[in-house]
This record gives sequence, structure tokens and C-alpha cells, in this order.
Amino acid sequence: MSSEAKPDQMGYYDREKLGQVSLQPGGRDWMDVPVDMRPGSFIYPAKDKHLRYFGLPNPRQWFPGDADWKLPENWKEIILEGIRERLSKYRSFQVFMDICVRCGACADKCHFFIGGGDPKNMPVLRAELLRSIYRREFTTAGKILGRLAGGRELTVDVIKEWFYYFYQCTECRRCSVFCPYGIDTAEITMMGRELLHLLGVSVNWIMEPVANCFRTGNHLGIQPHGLRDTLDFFADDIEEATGVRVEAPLNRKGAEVLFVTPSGDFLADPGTYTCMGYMCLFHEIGLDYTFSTYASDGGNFGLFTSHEAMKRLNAKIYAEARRLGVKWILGGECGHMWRVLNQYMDTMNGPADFLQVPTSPFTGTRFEHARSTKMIHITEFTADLIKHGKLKLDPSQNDHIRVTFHDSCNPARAMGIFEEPRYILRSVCNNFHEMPENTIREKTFCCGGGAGLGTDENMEMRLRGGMPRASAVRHVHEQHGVNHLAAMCAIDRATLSTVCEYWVPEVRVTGIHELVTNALVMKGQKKREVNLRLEPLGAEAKE
Amino acid sequence: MDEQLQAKRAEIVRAWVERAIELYPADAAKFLLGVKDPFANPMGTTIVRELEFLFDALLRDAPRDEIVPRLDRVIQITSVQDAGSARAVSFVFALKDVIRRALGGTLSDASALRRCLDFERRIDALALLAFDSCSRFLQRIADIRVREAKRRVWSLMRMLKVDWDGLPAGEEEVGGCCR
Amino acid sequence: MKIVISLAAVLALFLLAWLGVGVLDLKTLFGTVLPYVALALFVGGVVYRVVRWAAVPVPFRIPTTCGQQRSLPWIKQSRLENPHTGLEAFLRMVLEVLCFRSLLRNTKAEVRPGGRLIQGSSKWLWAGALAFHWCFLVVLVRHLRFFIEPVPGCVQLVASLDGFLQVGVPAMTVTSLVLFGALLFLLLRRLVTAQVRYISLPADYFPLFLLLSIVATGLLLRHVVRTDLSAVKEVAMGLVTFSPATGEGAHWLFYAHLFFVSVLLAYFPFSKLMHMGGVFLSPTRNLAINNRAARHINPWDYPVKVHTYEEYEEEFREKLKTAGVPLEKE
Repeated sequence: MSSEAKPDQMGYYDREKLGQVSLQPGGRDWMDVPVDMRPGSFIYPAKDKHLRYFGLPNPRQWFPGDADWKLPENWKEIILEGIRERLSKYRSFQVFMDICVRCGACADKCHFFIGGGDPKNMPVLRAELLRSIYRREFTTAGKILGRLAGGRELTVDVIKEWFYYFYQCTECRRCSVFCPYGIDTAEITMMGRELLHLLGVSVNWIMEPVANCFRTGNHLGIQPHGLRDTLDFFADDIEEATGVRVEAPLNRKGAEVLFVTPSGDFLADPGTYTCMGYMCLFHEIGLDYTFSTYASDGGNFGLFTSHEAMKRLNAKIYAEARRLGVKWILGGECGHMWRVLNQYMDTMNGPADFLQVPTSPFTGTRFEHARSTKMIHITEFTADLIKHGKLKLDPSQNDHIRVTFHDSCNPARAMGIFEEPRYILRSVCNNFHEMPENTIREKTFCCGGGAGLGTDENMEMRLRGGMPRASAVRHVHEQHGVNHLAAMCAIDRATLSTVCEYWVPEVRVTGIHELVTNALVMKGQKKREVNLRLEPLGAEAKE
Repeated sequence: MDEQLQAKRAEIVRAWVERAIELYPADAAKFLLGVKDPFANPMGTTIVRELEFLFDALLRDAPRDEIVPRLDRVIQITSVQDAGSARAVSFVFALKDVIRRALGGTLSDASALRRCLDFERRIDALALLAFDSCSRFLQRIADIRVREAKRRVWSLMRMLKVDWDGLPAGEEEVGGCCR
Repeated sequence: MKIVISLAAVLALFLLAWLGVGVLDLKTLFGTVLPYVALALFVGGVVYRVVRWAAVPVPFRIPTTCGQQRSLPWIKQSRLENPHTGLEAFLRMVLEVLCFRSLLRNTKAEVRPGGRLIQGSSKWLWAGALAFHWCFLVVLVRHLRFFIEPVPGCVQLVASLDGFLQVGVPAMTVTSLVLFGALLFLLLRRLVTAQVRYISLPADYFPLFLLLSIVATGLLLRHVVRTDLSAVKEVAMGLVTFSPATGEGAHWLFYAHLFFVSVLLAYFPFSKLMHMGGVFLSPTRNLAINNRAARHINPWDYPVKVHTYEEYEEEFREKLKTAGVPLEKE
């Protein structure tokens, strides 16, 4: 540390000689820098009742600021055994522990590092937090040479450091794109969090949704009557905006399609408008579909807990599709939900041999790329409809909107769904502008609130993490007058609203299907004067 | 005095930026100063650009309206570093150090000293604006927290016909700073 | 500190070689025994590591997608960045392994006055890494002339192409120089770039110093010391034909060179240098991205406790009824 006092310290004003300061060099090794739990960066721990309900170990009351985290007696054994088990089950984990060359290609790719400057938020160092323990305990060189071989002792402080930094990673996988070996920090963070959960160290913003989701089918704990009321309420708003009365069937057996969307769309502004958008679209084309109260959330905070939790929460989707006897499943606009659906669901809870290959009843398109999972993304479905001219659209109704598109991390880097949403946006809006190239598509910046970090006690951290995204949004706002940011992710719609309010208050966040419906000319509609938010539409809204 | 400062402008701005960046862990400094891509390094590039502007603005004693929006850009960043408001505005005071050091021995001359103190009054004025700006952003964060909480349960509250603000339409932005 | 330790280790190795051969004349040890031991460690170690990696299952198909997926027929799939078939995945790996595709992705942008945006790519790390790896390969191929008799035409061709500058006798080879330069660049980058220096371990500096020493001794042998090449070839052929020769007349520096190479070989399997093998096994890169088209099997899958619909209906029966939702059991 520098002996120089800073202007915010009293000692600064006692000095006779002013101005002898130089930029202090970073002398200390990262292993010697103890974790500094800053309020505003960490998330509150899980309440014991949620851990108990979901059947996870060591439920108790504790706080990250406490010296004693009330870990189990044999915590060290548990962690080492946990690492050993995972090394033998996941090639990704074993290989990623071994092959990093610390080239630094990922170092400046993390939004938390870019926006906050904490060196332990460089992806490589986040992984080293775990790798150093691996080397010390599981490699010969590390056992003999210890620190010289990059190993370090497993202590309670290491656990605290893991908690602090593995919950400052949004598992967005941006670093993995730039890594010459594809080392995926999301995978490391997932393992780190699994290990922490073995000790009962978890955060409430994840465990409460997980427990809710297990019980009620969705993260928010919406019960059947609540969902019925919500959808009816949406139908009222839609009628007010369009003059058309739409239906939203629940648990209807024999429907052709089961529709699953993140529960955030039922409750949270502005996701609710996206949900209304789906309802209008389905009504207009006459899709034979149903919502489900049991499978009322495609989102899966199990992904942020452990592979087992993910599987437990995901099971309901195929189970419900089988019970209702639908032909295939359609998924709404969500980010991490699609990571699970695309990369895990079929393996975990398949095979879905009781379903049929998704086929659009309106265009006849067979979605061959989903022939095993039997589930397609709504933008794939809608893009196909538009391409075949099945929707009557009046993009001028969105003329007051100048929109840019934020690629959500998971659809971008775990699916590669780039063109479908862009095609839709160009079809329903006359003013679409891309953000700079190194901030979109596979290089897209995270909202800073994914992977279970979207709570309010870590608001400053989220705003820092959202800054890289916001600076690109600001650029298109200043250059092209962009005033709306479209995103196909429920977490984005919640957290980017916050990020934009802080950094670029002139820009509002919207979903794709909200814009689709605002441009959609519906049969039997009244003269459209307001949008789904009940605000003036199109040219009138310009002034 | 102003001519002297003008002559040493590059040196002063550089030193000032370095002092401002002390807010961050030392190892981040090179990244913040070195990477010029505004999208890969929005924080560093913003600080460099705006401090340069602010120094010039102080030199020509620019009006408040010109200074505030640019000062905001910096404070907006420093306000979310979990470092407290004192540190968020401390970079303004650091300019005094930087200038005294740049002027060095010339300050033994009484008239030079007086002019230096005069310039420091402008820095003090900037500091007051910085306090203003910082408290505005902290308030904005607090507002955002509330708004986010409201958005989270938006449809629920509307169904229950909860009147958010108890305010007549059109007045809800009074005193707010977010839109 | 980390740097000093690594440098000291390499210097100690050098002193050891000098002491062993230059002073004590232990040519059999340094010219025969150690190379064999090192080679055995290298082959055994690499095989062991790769087999161990390959033995660990890949439970989920988790590739990182870097381009447009295959979906609707009228949307152009990015076949190399989001490979749908095994062949496409293979080609993606070829690009990754031979061209370091991912490192090439580094971009930089700049906003000019007036808001005009300039996009460019930042290729330094990519160029340095590529130069090092390729030149290292060419230098290895050139060295085959010591181990094969008669020297194959392709090796001779590589060597003569490499010496096209026609500077000095024997001709200065381009690859050796580039190799040395690239290594220096990679080392400097580690020392100068603050973030990279912060994350570096002794295990990152040591191989760099070791490789630099190998190249430096090699260059010295060829251009300064001008050791007796027939003696060198004698030692090399002896190693290959299992009829060890002491190579009388070879300069002691040659044994230092050989010793460094032996250390590198022995060190290789136990270090990060194994990234050479690991890159082929990385599940985020080497799998076809046909997640929704073909079911991936998890070999250790096990049943988990779920909340069944029956349990759900039981708990929420009244509320489901109130909401008018159809039930399984009324």
C-alpha cells in the first residue's frame, strides 16, 4: 500500500508538502490480496428455509460479513471430495483445470473487469481461484512445489473468495469466445458454485426462485389462480389497446403446442408486454396452444445452482408435454432458459420420443434442427411466419421507435440465434440500428445481472457490469437517435432497464414480440391508437 | 498563470488522470490508461476524455452549463465503485496537487501564488459541482432500486389497483432525475 | 520474484550442462541417458495425460457458438463458427489448431472526433503466438536431417527455403530468427502488459526462458561456435538407432542444447504445455452443435427427485379449481 493519504482521508490535509504522489505499482501477488467483501458487490445468503425445502445441505443463518460462516466441521474434506468427483465426471472441468496458458486473451473481455477494474474479475484469474487449489491438491508438481507451481492452501478465506467472485460472474461465456482453447469460465463458475452449495454457501436471489420453482412450477411462486388472473388481466389490456379479445388457455389437454416462457414475463414490466405480444400473435394466427401452470417457467435457476438442481427443475417441461398430449413445445424469449433447453434438456430429461418434430401448422415448415428436442424458439417460429407472409404487418406503427438489438448471452453463445430476431425486427420496425461490431452477436456484452445476480443489494456491481453494454447503447443513441433496446431475455428486460436508467436514461427496453404485436394488423381490431403499454403509437408519438 | 498552465497542459492532464484512476486497484490502471477502444474500455476512455475537457474548461473559466454534463460523465462512473462519495469526488481535489507540483518553484513569487490560489477557487467551484453531481447519481441509484422493485411486481400491483405514487398523472417525475 | 526464480532455474540448468560436459566430460549421461529418460517421460507422460483426459466423460454438449446456428433453410448458417455436422466441427478445430482462430477475434474500436466509428482488429497476440508455433514446427522439421539418413527431400527443401536470405555461411534461417523474436515478444508481453503480468506464474516464465535458451544455444552452435556437424549427427543417429555414440568433437554447448531439449521434453507432460493435446479435447470447441437435432447421452446420468404433476395437483387442487383449470382427478 502507498503511504500517501488520499484526498478523502484526513491525513491528506496535514501534510506540508503536497503533490508527491506517483501511480502505485501493483506489487502484491494476487494470492496475497485478501478478499475485501464490499457491500454493494456481494449478494445476501440463502434463507435456511429455501435450502431445507429443496433438500440442500447445511441450512442455517449466516452473513458474508461474519467471520464464522458456520461451515460443516469437515468442510475441507467435502470440497476436496467434491472437486475429485467433478474432475472424474466432467471432461470440461478436468481439461480446463489443466490447459490454461494464461495468455491473457480473456483478461479484458469480462464486463465486470471492464466496468469495475477488479483484477480478480479477469476470467483467467477467476478460474485461477479454483485452479490454484486444484494444483496444490491434485497435481504432483503442486503437492511438492506448492506456491512455486501456482498452488495454494485451501482455507476458509479461499471459500469466502470463491463466494465473492463466483457470484460476480454472470456465466455469459464471452471470455470463452476469445480463448484459444475454448476455456469457458461459465463452466468453472458452475463447478465453483456446485462446490459452495455442498457447504450450504449460496445466495437467496437464486435459492428462493429455485425453491419456488420446485414447488409452484415457476421462480416467482405464482400459483394457478394467480396465473389465471394475470393472463386475464393481460387480455383486458390487449382488448383496450386493440379492441380484440384474446384467450389464454391453461393446462388444456390435446392442444397442439405447449408454450413455455420465463415467468418474469408474467409479472415484471416490461416483460409483461412481451407476454401480451405472444398472446396477440397466437390469437391472430389461430395457434392451437396452451400455457401450463405446472410448467409455468422455462427459466431454470438450477443452472446457477448445480447440474442436479437444473435437472430437477427442468423435468416438468417434458412431463407436462407428455401429460397434456401436445405435439411439440414452443419456447418464449428468454436467455438462460434457452441455454438449458438447447444444451441440457434433451440429455437430462429426454428422449422426447412421445412428441413430434415441430412443424408450423401455418407454413408447413418442419423445424428439422429441433427434431430430437422437439422444442423451438419463438423467433424461429415467427421469422418463418413473416417469411411466408402469414402476418399482416404495419411497421409504421413503430415509427416512433428507433431500435437496436442486444444479443442476450445465452442465445448468442449457447445457440447462435442471431439472424432470426434481426429479421423480425427489420420486418416490424423501420428504424433498426446495430451497435458496434465488437459488442454484438457472439461478442455481445452481458447485462451484468444474469446467472442469478439480478438482485438489488449488489446494484453498484450490476451497474458497473452493465457499463460496457450501456456505452455501446449510448453510442447508437447519440449517433442514430436510438430510443429502444430490444432484447429476447427476461433477465435482460429487467436488468437492462435498470442499466439504461442509470447510464442512458433516454433508452427504454422492450421485447421482440412486443414490437411484433405493435406492428401487427389484427383481424377485427379497432383503429390502433395506443400500443400495449397504452401509450400513443407510431407517428403521433413522435412529438 | 493561465499561460503557464496552458503550456503544461499535457503533463497536468496526464497526472490528473493517473490520480483519478487511483480509485481502482493498481493493476487495473494500466488497462484503464492503455486500452483506447471506447467499447472495450469505456471507463478509462471516458475518464481521459472528460478530464481533458474539464481542465480546458477550468482554464477558460467556462460556464457551469458546459461543465456539468461533462463532469456528470465522470461522476456517473465513480459513483458506482462501492468506494463512497468522498472517493467518488476526490479526483477533483487531486487537481490541486497536480497543479502545485507542475508549477513547482514558481509559487515562491507572491503574485504567482495569488494567481494559483485564484485558479484553485475554480477547482473548488468544480468540487462543489462534483458534490452536486455525485449526490444526484446516488439519488438516481436509490430511485432505480425503487423503480426496479416496482417493475418486478408490476402486473401484480396493477391487478390490485395499487396507485404507485399517489400522484396525479404527469407529476410523477417531479424531483426525479431518471427520465 | 516469479521471473527471477524461473530465470535462475534455467541458468542453473545451463551451469549443470556446462559442469557436466564442459568440465566433467559426462557425455554419455548428457548425450544418451538423459535424452532417453526425457523422451520416455515425454511419450509416457503425454500418452498418460491424454488417455486420462479422454477417459473423463463429456456429460453435456456445451460448445460455445460463435456464429449463426443452422435453423431455417433461408437463413445462412455460419458453418465454421457454429458447426452442425462432424465435418464442420472438424474444420472448426482445424482453423483453431492451425490458425488460432479464437485469438484472431480480438477487436478494437476507436471513435474519431465527430463520432465516426473505426473498427479494427488487434492481432498482436495472435501474430506472436502463430509465429512462434509455426516456426517451432519448421525448426523441428529441419532438425530431422540429423535423425534420418539419407536426409529426405522434403526436409532438405524446407531447410533450403528457410535459408533463402542467403546471409552468412551456413545460411541464417528465417524461422530461427522469427522464433527467437516471437519468444522475446511473448516474454515482453508478459512483463509489460499489466494484466498479463499479474496473472503470470513461474510456470509461465520458465518455459519461455527454456525455449529461449534452446533457440539461443542452437543459433550459437550454428553460427558462432560452428560445432562439428558430423559429430552431432553421429550422436543423433546413435540415439535413433539405439547404438549410442559419444560424438567426439562436438562442442560442449551442443550438450547444453541437448540438455535443454531433454528438460523441455521431460517437463512437457506435467505442465501447461499440454495445451497442445488439450485443445483437441475441449468440449466447448470440438463438438458438433446439433444439440436439438441429435440427443447427447450422459453416461453417468442418474434419476433425481422431482416434483411430479400429481404432487403438484394435490397441493394446489383448490386453487386450480378456482382458476377453472382442468384437473386429472376431480
